Amino acid sequence: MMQAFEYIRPGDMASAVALVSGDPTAQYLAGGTTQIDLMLKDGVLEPERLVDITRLPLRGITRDGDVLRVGALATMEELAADATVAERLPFVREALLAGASPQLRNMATIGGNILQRTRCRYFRDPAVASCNKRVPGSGCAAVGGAARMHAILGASEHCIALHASDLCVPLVALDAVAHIQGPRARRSVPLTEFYLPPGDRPDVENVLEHGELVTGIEIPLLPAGTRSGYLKVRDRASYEFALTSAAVALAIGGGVITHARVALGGVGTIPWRAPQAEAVLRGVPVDAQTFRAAADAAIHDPFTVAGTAFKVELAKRTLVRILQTVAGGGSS
Amino acid sequence: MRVLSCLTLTAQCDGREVTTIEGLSREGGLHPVQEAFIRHDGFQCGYCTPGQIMSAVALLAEGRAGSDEEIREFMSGNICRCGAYPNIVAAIREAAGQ
Repeated sequence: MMQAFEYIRPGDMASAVALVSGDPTAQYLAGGTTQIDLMLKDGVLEPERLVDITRLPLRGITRDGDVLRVGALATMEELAADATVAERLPFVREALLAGASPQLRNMATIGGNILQRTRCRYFRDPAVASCNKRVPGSGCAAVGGAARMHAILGASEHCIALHASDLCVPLVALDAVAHIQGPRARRSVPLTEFYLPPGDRPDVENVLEHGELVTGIEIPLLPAGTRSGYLKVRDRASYEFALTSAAVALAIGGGVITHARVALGGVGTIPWRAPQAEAVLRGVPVDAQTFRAAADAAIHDPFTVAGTAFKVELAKRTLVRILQTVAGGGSS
Repeated sequence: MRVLSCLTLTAQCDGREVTTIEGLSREGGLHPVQEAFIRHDGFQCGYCTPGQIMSAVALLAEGRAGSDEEIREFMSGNICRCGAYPNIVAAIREAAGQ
């Protein structure tokens, strides 16, 4: 049974932030592609007030030197169509177009994408009693259940829910920063610090306080001459979440890797930057052994259950494949 | 711009123009994409057909019907449980050529 809720569309950001901050039962509404599902169909979210921010002036995508500023309400399709993204952030474009479907990408915003909720079927079904993310302290049904689309990194017996964003994988690799407006102050947080690993509090997913609004993100452009690529492995060719994915950016001079950025998708409870893999790659010649060593370093200390054990090797091979493609000049 | 009606609150459409399948017909006649779906038998039970056709009309406007591969990729958000996909692709290919 759907719970009644109030719908408000304030005319300016200060009013929107005040409306949500002042009401613990209120939530922002943007593209709604996760939220409306979780409210009206699954009954997981029960806000009593929805504050629609979609007509606030937070849409623009502008280049400022070597940084791209993206309004939180820019859509996935808008960002994928941006000329600077195509030229200087090709793996961001690839990740965007590998996600969802055109009609969802027309609705889904960049702010909403970074704040998307997990697809874990046990989280999304209130009839399941055990879910530490939905009901803190209740246990995790996924650990002993039908896990497949679940995390192996940053996971534990408390929670194996996956952060399923494609876009966030290159974003954490790029050190993108989220701009946040609160009721009293603004702040900026790098995405690598924005997400909180679940630990024993899977219900707390990020650093946002109630009422804080993500107003946009800032993406540093790749230096000219850097090559990048995003590879997504999934159960069907399109319109499916990742089993594993990897985002890679490499600069290579004289056969030696001078700069490397690596992040993984489909495996982490949060978008997963792999600094250990970057350290293996930096300053060494391009060869198959190096790539395998980087992959072994990236997937360290996994927590697997029967349904997710296959991801350890699949994630490594995914990373090796995209490293080969990018190093070989085969990608963008 | 195509969106999903099942994830859109009516209140969010206030002041906006919305076209549904009913709005496609021209002076009582069918839209060319509708005619192509009939000619190529692009449906079986018909449940997904309004969504398929609205998505196909948008796909053509987006200029993403250049090949069968492209049609499949950019129509992938519309599931057909009867599996009428080959005929749907054929209908869109024909409409794109008109």
